[in-house]
Amino acid sequence: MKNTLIAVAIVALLIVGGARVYTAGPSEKGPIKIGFIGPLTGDAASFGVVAKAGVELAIEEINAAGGINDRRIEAVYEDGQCSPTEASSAASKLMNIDKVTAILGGTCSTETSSFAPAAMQNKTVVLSYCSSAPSLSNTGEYFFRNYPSDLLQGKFMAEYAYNTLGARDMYIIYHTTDWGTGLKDVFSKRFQELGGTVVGVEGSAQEERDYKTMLTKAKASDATFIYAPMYPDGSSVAMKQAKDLDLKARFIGGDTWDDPKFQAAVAMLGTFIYPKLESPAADDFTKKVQAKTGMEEVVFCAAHAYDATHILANALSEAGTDPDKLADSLRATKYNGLIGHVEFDEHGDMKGGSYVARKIENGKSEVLR
Amino acid sequence: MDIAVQITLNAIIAGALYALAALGFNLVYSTTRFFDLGYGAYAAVGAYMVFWLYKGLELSLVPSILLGIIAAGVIGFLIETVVYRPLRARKASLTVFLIASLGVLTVIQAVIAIVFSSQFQTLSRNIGEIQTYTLWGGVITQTQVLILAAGLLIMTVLGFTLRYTMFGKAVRAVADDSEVATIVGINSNRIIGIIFFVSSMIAGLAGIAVGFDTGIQPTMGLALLLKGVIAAIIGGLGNVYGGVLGAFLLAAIENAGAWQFAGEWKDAIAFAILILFLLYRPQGLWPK
Repeated sequence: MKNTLIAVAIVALLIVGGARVYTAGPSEKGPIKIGFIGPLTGDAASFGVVAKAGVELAIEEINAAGGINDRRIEAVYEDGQCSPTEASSAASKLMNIDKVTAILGGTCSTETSSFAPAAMQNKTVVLSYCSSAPSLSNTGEYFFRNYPSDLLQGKFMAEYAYNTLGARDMYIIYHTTDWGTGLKDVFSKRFQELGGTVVGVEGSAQEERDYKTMLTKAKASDATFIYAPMYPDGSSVAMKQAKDLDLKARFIGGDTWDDPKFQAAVAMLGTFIYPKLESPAADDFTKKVQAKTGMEEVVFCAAHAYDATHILANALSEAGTDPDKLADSLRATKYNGLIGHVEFDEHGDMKGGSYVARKIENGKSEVLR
Repeated sequence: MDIAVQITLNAIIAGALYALAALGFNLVYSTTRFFDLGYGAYAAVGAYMVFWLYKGLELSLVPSILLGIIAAGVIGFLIETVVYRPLRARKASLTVFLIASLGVLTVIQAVIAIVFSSQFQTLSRNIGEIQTYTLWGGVITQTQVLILAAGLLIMTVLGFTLRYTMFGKAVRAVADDSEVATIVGINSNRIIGIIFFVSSMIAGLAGIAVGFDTGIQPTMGLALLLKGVIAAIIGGLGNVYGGVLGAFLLAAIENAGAWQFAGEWKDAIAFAILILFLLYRPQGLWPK
């Protein structure tokens, strides 16, 4: 009987103590903790790794300048693997165990959409530096992104295809994630508005590795162009299988094709065109990221992540860690950074932004004029 | 009709891969009566061995593949000796075997991911210059033809061995009842060891084939295994020829479905077929 009482008392203490730890919010003293979610391994790792380096560089600068109101800023880095399940558990850990004030992330729209609703409920500010799916615009009042919604990218590609490439018929194969579906919808709407025809649409999971039948159908449709908003790994395999099938159509893709791994993989498979957000050159920053990561090409999310960290730090020093004040301060941001001028609209989306077309040939990417 | 020919060719290529997976799986199942989930891991071992030898150490193609297949076989044999044989001696139940094989699959996958990273990789060294052949309007690559040829060769050799040689008779005896086989004088453990070696080699070949056709990832074994299991169940679990026919049938229905509906339905169709068979014809189309 006595042993049972002791056991019950210990369990009760643990529950009460645990609950106190679990429900307490971010601390008011000590360093400010922010979370980072991005793919450090897996499909879009090229983007996540440089983004992490961008955040690290920004944090070093901020702390060297005295921190935020005399508090150091610290980041906890979690691997989202461009997968909803991983990103969601990463976010849970950041919010409940590390008690971060805000989350910078994710890179992939699938990551962000998996944890952003929970973060809204938890009143944790989320600033995504790279997620572009249009569906994220309605996430909530604590959500911001310094990367434009794909309403812009899809429209740009449709107009580029119709006006510059002279495409009149288009086949679409895409990955059925938030990002891919968003682009597919925006692109086909704009392309058809301009007068083009979408002759067929085929979707597949991001992890699919056998595109032969989809590509066969595209071949049979005799479309001259194929729009393929897909992630790097799937795209590499699909392009190879397209070559095997002797598919003559030209491929245009999404911003994920900025990945050097993809560009190397399709080196001998033809010429590919994709859009990239225009941003002023920042050689100094690029060199620092190259030194940190050892990567030769620094793809776009690095500068955005760097800017996002500074934007967040500025808002924190002005408004403190209270979520509502922080969100209001972020909404009023006017910041000039590596990617240019940043302002957020009422949905938290970045205002402005413009794309340029680039072509991939022989393993390298260059701007198309 | 161009597209029908190409879809058929796609189905044949996919069918050959599934058939290899089903072949090895059936071999193990018919002799030991258990669902070896670790089978998927041997496919990954074969593929990654070739990745290391062919792309890492830059050996030439044929030796790399042979070594990859043998490596897969050796790993399979070791697992059987170290993990399954003691369990068999203890008369462990089939559930225990299943869980143990799941453990084997997980451990091997994790080790591969640690050593080689979980990035998706390709096996071929020069992607641009692939020889293709045109058949009645459809296109097939040299790699795919080789996979098909290898698959058919293995099926014939295996079938012949099982039916006509002393070894084949011993295997069938062990499959029937391993205790009685031991009483009659057959060394059951040795036969089972050899079966594991052979079936793991086949798994390794399947993994290498998938690697050359699409690419490799540490988790590739599970997907291949599942398709092989479905093919085996459709064809009749334990029936070696049935599994092969089941594999081609599965590939045909999958690709026809992808053609008529959308590509996203492929997996859903495969598993729907599995459920239908388990409900209405669990013994498969060609029960032993």
